[in-house]
Amino acid sequence: MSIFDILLRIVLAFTAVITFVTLNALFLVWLERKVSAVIQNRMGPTEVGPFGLLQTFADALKLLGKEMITPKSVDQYVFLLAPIIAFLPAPLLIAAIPIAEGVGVSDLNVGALYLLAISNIALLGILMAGWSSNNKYSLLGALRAVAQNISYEIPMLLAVLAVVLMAGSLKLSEIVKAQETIPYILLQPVAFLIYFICSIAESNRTPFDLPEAESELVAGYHTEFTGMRFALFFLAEYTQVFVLAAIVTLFFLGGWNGPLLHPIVWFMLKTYLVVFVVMWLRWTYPRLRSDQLMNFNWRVLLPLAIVNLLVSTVLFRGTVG
Amino acid sequence: MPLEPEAVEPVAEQKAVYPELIERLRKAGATEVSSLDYSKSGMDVDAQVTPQSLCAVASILKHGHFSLETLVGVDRQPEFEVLYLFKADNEGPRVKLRAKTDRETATLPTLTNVYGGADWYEREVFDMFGVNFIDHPHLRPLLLPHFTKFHPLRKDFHGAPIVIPEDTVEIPELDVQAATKLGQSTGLRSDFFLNMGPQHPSTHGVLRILLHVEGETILGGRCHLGYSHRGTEKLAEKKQYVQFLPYTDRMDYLSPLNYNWGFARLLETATGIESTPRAEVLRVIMCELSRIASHLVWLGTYLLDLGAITPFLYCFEDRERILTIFERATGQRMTTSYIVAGGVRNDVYSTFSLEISELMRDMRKRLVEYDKLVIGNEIFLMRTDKVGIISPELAIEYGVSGPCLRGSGVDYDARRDEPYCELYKELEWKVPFETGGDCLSRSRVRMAELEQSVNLVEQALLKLEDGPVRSKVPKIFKVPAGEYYSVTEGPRGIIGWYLIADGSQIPYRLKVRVPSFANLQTVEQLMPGTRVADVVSILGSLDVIIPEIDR
Repeated sequence: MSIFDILLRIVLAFTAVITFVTLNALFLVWLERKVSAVIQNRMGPTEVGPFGLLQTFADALKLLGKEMITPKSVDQYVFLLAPIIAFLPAPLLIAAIPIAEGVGVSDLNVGALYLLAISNIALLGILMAGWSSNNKYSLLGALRAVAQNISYEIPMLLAVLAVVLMAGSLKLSEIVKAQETIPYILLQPVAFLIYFICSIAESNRTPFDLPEAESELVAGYHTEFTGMRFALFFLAEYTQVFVLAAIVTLFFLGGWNGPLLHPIVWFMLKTYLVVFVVMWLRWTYPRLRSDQLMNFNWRVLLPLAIVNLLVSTVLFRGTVG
Repeated sequence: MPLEPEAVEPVAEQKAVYPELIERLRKAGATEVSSLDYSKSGMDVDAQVTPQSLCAVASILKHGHFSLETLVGVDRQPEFEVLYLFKADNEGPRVKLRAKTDRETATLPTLTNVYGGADWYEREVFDMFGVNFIDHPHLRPLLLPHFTKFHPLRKDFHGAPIVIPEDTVEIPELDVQAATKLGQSTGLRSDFFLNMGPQHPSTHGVLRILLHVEGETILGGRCHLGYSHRGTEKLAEKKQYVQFLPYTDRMDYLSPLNYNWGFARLLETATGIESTPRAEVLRVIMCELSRIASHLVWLGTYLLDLGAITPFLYCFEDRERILTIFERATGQRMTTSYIVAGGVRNDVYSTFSLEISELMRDMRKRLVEYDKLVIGNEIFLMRTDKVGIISPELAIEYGVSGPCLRGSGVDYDARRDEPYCELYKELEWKVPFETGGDCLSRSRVRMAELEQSVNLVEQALLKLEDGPVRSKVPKIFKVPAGEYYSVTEGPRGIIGWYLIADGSQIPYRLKVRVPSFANLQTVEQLMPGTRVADVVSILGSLDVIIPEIDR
């Protein structure tokens, strides 16, 4: 392969990933508004485009045109860098997710590890945003986000480990291949629940949306951000929701396996179904308190995850290749 | 016009019961103690106290489990008088203590050592009259900005320019001290202060709480009021009785009808005008609907505070139907001015009963849903159970009323225990109460009240018979000279009106006792040791309306 080929590949992949990240976020925002509207006996967006589909495009354009205000007392460089770092993992994560056999930018042999590691970079961005804003609400929001994310990381990894143990590989396509006959949600229901709960907590959504609890902390860590900088946080958040749903699909729902339909269709169907469930939760539940959130993690999820890992080690010892 | 004979009888009975109390007050140092006719003045016992004997007399009342309902400052020209209004439990008397001080010194001893709840009331009197309360722990203006130098409710005040000093942005040193002092009980130290409000989504209006926090733990907090102070009590001294009615709508924007009724009731007590039977039924229907609407807003916004957005929209959908009925019956959705002295302003429209009974049928279904989906929700229980416990003692000391009082296990409801509407006695309903004292108990009481209000409306509709809706009221409305007090039960608690009339068309002094004032005051006691998220939960469960407090 010549250098030109490699460069072309990179440019193509980059364009594809960024396009997907943007379109996906726009679609998810629309979906969120429609889902919440249905749950709340409303119509949701209807005016712009069919079913209001273009409403979020209009909103994005509006955000682009908005003034980017930098408050006087902020820590300039950190403040500028924070949204970029928060957004950074979004394309990196999308790039590593295979959406069908051989379809995807890169199917790493340590895919599972990579996904979990990279997704945490966003946390640094959040912490930087909270710290640099020089706003007490932002700081509290960032503190909550960091505490919560680090805590929930542990049971989440343990849950993933149980899956990896069964598939015998960290490569995402291998994990999917191992589920050709029976998806892991049936073999590892506890790991699935733990992972699902943790990943909602990781993406800071209700009932774990403490970092941006609007009734306590105004808007949490992104209180001081406007225009495109705010939009970057938004993009990051919705990409994270997609990624969490994609990982659930890959690890537990059998990935692109399914009868009749094309594998890509299966993958997207499953992923957006999970996204829908996440949204459904958001619009039905109140929010936990910070100490309750921690208690739930350390006293319930973590022991459960450890026991689950031990039990699956013993039960599936024979099957592991 | 005299009141109905059956309304007078039980009151006359009550009057004879308190010689023992009068004797004890006399022994403690009260100078002139006399008993009053409850049906005419709304008070049972009147006692004049000297500044020296004030605390001793108040202690007697405290031992008798009286709660401090409000303080009324009066400019008697030349001297000032402060009236302390006390209320015993259900059957007991209402006692009024009067303490005088001359214009030059204008000092009185503080009552905060006996009644913690006197804190804000004394600060308000300090604000409005410039009366100094010696040894008050935190004597600074409550409703006015902290830099004001004038006292607007003095009769010789006719307006003054407000000069804003340059250091107003800073947190006053006194507040920092006070917040720190409250935090000492938790044993933690911190110099992190958080201003919650006045522009904050869950302070329900413009309330500012200065929080002293260590991480997520609250060490202490101080409430700052007055951001929507409109000087209603001063306005009352410039308006005729009839002209003042629209101002009562604007006290509590969620239940204007209950305030209309309170004011109408005051004028009826003072002048002896009676309302008609049809008007009484209409009043009950409208006020109970108003209570339902108000509680629905509470439910929606409380859940919003706790992070659940959806219930808010459902509650507002139901409330909208009630407001539509208000609009058709009174002409306005919120500023109704509907209940007036002698009855109601106009009769209702033809499909009124039909629409309401249909609405009530739907409400019953919705209430079951709310109970199951919202109040039974696991996370909701976690956020409210054992959070913000108001003990019965604290509730009585601070004069807490309404669902907050009943959530603390004190069984008092003015609708049942004050003879202000005969119809409540005839209808079949009960006063719900819980013993927990926490946010959950208060929520449960309100949910049960919603159900009882639906009961009341449905029964009252059956009693709606044809007839006039307003009795004859003189064209020129004058109130005979004297002092009157009337109490009604609003959605948030006791709405009390204290009127000092001089026989003209204009009140000499009109004081409103608002329920949220006392309820909110407990928050400073509840906060130390809780989390930031709990403050939101406690505030929401108290269901305060800031414009009502600020007036």
